[in-house]
Amino acid sequence: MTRGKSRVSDAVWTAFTESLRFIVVPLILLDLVTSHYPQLATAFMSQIEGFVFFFGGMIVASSTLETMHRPGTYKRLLFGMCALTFVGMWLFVVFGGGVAEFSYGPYFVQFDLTKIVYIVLGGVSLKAVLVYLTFSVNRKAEVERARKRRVEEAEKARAGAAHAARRRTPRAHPSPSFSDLSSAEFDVTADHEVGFTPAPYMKDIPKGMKTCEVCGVQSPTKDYVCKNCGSWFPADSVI
Amino acid sequence: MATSIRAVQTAIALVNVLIFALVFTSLWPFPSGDFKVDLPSAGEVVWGYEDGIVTVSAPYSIDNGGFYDVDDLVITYDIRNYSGEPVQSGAIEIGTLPAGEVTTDTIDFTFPLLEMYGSGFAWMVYNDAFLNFAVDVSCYYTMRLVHFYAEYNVSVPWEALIEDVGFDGARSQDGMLLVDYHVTTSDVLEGLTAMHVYLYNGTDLVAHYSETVSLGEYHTGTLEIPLPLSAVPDRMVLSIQIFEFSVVETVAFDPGWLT
Repeated sequence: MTRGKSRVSDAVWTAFTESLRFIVVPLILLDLVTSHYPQLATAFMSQIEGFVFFFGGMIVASSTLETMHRPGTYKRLLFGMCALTFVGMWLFVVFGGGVAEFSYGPYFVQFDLTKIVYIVLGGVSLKAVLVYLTFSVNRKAEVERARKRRVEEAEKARAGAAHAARRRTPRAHPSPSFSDLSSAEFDVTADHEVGFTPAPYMKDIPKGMKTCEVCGVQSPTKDYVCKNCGSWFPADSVI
Repeated sequence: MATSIRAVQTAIALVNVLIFALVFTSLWPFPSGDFKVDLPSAGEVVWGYEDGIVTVSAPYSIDNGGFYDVDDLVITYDIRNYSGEPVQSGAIEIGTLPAGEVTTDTIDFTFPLLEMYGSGFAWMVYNDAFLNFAVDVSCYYTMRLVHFYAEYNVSVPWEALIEDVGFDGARSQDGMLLVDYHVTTSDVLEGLTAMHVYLYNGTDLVAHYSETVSLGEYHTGTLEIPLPLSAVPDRMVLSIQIFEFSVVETVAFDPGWLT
């Protein structure tokens, strides 16, 4: 529950910061540039504000949805890649496709920055590596978490079904039939470990430190946010 | 696992800083004025004329105060007359201009006005006009990552070589017939020539006198013809040869000028 709340607050914060980065501040700068240099023209200049709104909005939506999902999930990977794609489009539009023209008086000047724009897009696309790496690093933990959740749900369902069966069937006539049992996922343990589930190995944590559930990095107990991956710590872990 | 993410984050940050530095150093010289192109204005064009050839000299300057060398710097020009007829065109290949250096030179070209006289350029001899200069500058910057192109169009006023030759009046005074005239020629012309006055009675030449005229300025003069004449003329012809071009003006002779 706490983790879910922190994800929502993360998403709200991401939406806010991304709106500033990709919509509000660029629109203010564009207004300044177009009012001071009305002779400046690019391929998208006539509708640049609409493009910034559209692609900026897409970036905000994708980034917000990315943050709302746990690292290691396919949804987070998908929205992360979507956000990157929109950032590339946004940059391409803001740079005017790499060609800017300026005319004043008898002068006409043209800058062809196409190659520079491609280099910038290449730099931005490097973040795809980070998004994928975050996914692959957290994927195992996410799969394990999902499996445990399914097992817990299956155990609950099995217990509920058994309880219902006990109430339905008279004790004097127990039925050994399998048809009365419901199918449910079961956590199968090794034969020699029947009846014994070893506790997970907990590494000793230094005093005054806590471990991030997402990336596993240790942080001081007073921290609200993991400095490595940016995820929020549960409120009760902050001392 | 956290180490690998941190390493990738650091690498991406480093690459992005390098890209930002590249973009900044590529763009900043242009709006800041460190990279500056001065192309000739109309007042800076210097004209000359000799032996039927018009010489033109237009200064330009390119200041590369940026961070990188300028490569493949080429200046092309195309000059056309008022009606769009091509006068001259060409290209000046400067090549590489190292960072921090300035190149200053002139666009020099000539065009044979005398040869072009018969092909629609006669107007330029006797009338003021404009020559339309289209000067283009093209170069690469930042290791050929940025292409810069500037186009400059300017109409340079052309002053007629022979602006005006006129008769300003005649009178007799102290036994002389005084004929006033003026000649206005372009300051690109230098030297001396002669103004001739012919007095005719029918086809008979009654009198012929001449006077030296200096070119390249507004010249006024008075030709003095001794009286009496052998006959009363019926017309007066003023004739002047300015290099390869001649101007002839005929006026009816007023007998009252003799009294």
